Amino acid sequence: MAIQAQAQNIESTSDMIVTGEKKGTKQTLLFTNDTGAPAMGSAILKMGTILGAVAFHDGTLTAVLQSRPGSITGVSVFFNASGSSTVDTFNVLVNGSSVWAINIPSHAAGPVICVETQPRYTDSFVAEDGIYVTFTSFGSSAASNIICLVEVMYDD
Amino acid sequence: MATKFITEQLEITSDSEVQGELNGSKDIIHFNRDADTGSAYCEAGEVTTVGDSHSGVPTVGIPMVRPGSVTGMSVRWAGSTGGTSGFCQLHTPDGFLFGVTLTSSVDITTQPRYTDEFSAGDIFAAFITVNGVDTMRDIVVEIEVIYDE
Repeated sequence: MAIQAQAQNIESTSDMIVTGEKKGTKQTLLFTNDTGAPAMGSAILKMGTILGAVAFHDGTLTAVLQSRPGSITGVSVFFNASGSSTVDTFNVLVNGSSVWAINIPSHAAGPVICVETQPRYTDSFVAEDGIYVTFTSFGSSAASNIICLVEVMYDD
Repeated sequence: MATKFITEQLEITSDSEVQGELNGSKDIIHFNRDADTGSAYCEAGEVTTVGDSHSGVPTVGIPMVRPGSVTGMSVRWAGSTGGTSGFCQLHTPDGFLFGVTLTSSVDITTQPRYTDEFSAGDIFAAFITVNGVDTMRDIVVEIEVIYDE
């Protein structure tokens, strides 16, 4: 089948209908943790009610396996802080290695919201790679009701 | 980089492949709740979404990564005594954003893009009320959004 390539930006001000495959789409993955992390402690966020820290047969942690290759392009975070802190960190991990560390801005006690995006292809993964998220409190503030959306953009 | 503008509807009868950024993509935000009585906020994963049921201002919710619009909602639920009326609402810190009236155990509504918009960092909570039912159970709410970037 012939391929018509367009090298410039295409902006459609009307609808776009694709009757074949649509490659290069975005999707978000929801990670949460009810009890959260204690002060000076860490928590692995969960997908649904699945416990994050369960070893696979190959020794890796349970993670969300990706069906296609792609990139991690965005992270949004919500949690309730028990106190003020300047050093809390979220880590997005691929196959157990941190690929994106999000340093939470200094905050007071109460709800905390942080959103970051980055260009496609900055942090890539391949099919069957596992993604998971951890939260670490390095200060005296504990976190509860942790909710995190990880945005991915698939290549095919 | 130059931009090619297309003002008509574009229909591709084969595959499309975007190697740059794709702005304007759809996404689904999931909420659920095992069981409750009367009115309740749904849960996101294992986190209970807590809010003021009368003012509709959630204190815990799913934070949006990018700005966009809410374009659809589907609700599936079961009741212990068969009541079939009520409503499901999407709440943000600014209050009620979008909702569907429940007339059966499965209700779906959609609306055009840009009708109800949100910003990056807005938090979402799903609030459900079912009339005439002692206990709601097996509640599944899906919110469809289209991101602007």
